[in-house]
Amino acid sequence: MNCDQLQSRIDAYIYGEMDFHEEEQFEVHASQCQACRHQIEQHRAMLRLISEAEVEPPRALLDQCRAGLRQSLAASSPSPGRWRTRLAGWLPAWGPVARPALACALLALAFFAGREVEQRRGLIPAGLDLARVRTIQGTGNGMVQIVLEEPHQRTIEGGLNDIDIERALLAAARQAPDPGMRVESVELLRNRCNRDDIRKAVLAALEQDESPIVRLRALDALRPHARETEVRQALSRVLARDSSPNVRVQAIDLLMDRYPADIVGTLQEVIRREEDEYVRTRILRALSQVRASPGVF
Amino acid sequence: MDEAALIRAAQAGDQQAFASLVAGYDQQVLRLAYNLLRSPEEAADIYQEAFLRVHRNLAKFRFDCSFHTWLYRIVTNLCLDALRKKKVRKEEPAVVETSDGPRDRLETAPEQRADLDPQRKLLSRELRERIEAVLAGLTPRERLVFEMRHFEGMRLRAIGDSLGTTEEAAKNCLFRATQKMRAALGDFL
Ligand SMILES: [Zn+2]
Repeated sequence: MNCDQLQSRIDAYIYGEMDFHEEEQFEVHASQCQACRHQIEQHRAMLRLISEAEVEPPRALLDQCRAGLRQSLAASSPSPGRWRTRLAGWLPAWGPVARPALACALLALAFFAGREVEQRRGLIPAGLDLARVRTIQGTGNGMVQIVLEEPHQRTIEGGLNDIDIERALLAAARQAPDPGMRVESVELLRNRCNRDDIRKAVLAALEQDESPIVRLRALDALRPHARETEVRQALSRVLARDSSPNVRVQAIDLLMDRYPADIVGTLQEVIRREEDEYVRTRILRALSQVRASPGVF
Repeated sequence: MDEAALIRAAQAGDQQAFASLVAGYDQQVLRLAYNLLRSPEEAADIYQEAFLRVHRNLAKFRFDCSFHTWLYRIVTNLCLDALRKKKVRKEEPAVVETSDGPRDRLETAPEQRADLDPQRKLLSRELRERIEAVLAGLTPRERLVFEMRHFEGMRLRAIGDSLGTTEEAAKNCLFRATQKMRAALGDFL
């Protein structure tokens, strides 16, 4: 092994990814070559330095993620009534830390279960029964593919402008039982939010969807419309009411992006009740950016 | 219950088995996403999306690779997508319209979340910025391979498997990443 070969294999050596024979050659050369030993030391020092920039996610984030996942899965269950008992089974595996979050998830579930049944009865677009839609997917070239089970699998494909595709996307964004499908639908509708009915559907997803992921996607889709009154009002309500701190934080960012002075009142109002430490920090920072006081609280 | 039994139970619809399966990997997945994206919101997105996909597709898991590899195929795809999107966003024009006229994007961008990471306070601000810059300068693949090898301790072969490539390709990718880092951090060593 020569110097160049050694230096191109330093990672493999440090990470213990060499076979016995290669490692042997590496060490023989290193033991005889001052320059290469220096290179190895430098490499180790660099990796140590980078290691210090590594961060551990806050424990609360893991709990939030788990609660969110439970909620999404519960919401996607075909028979929401049975989830109450089945959800209890999640507790032992994830331990006591997750309990308060689960209580919230159960409350939300109880609330949404009623709503969902009501919605699913109406509004199925002509010729397309959502219960039979297996997947909705963008194919990347402005086309959308919908796979139906009826009972044999059938695939329909069409452009975003296609009236049937559009209907399917609007319906799915609102009421597909699978949150993944709702995410995909919102994502496919996002560039067309300048149309009233589509923006309304995305706003509805932002304010009403039970999955925080879907709400985050909807929020993101509305980004270009953050100046519009209707959108700003919805975002203010989200900031005041959404159960997910992630969604609340994103709402702050988006509201602050345009006319930050307009939302001082909302921020002052919200911070009185805000319990999440991180969201509080973000609100305080937002207020200080517009040089407003947090108000009396 | 061993993992294979857990997977079979989860495939049969046992939600508690699914929860146990998730709990065995989710901390690792979240840490990877959090470190790659440096944003709690984006990390949470990846977490949700990854395990929802696992849930949706678990029935199709045929035990022809390890569950870890199968899971990481999903996770690495999501991470690469998110990193690519982040890169595109970074390349947006530097000047934005605000209510007080055009301003530099940096001024209007929400502050970086350094305050979330108390450990990083140990590093000098200059060094921290330099490290952030070098990590951001890696390609999404280089970034991901480095993160998985250096921080997650995954073997290069497993990394290659989850990226649908060879161990050799993963090794080369890692090498390019650490070369860039050496070049960028040379004067701190
Ligand atoms: Zn040498």
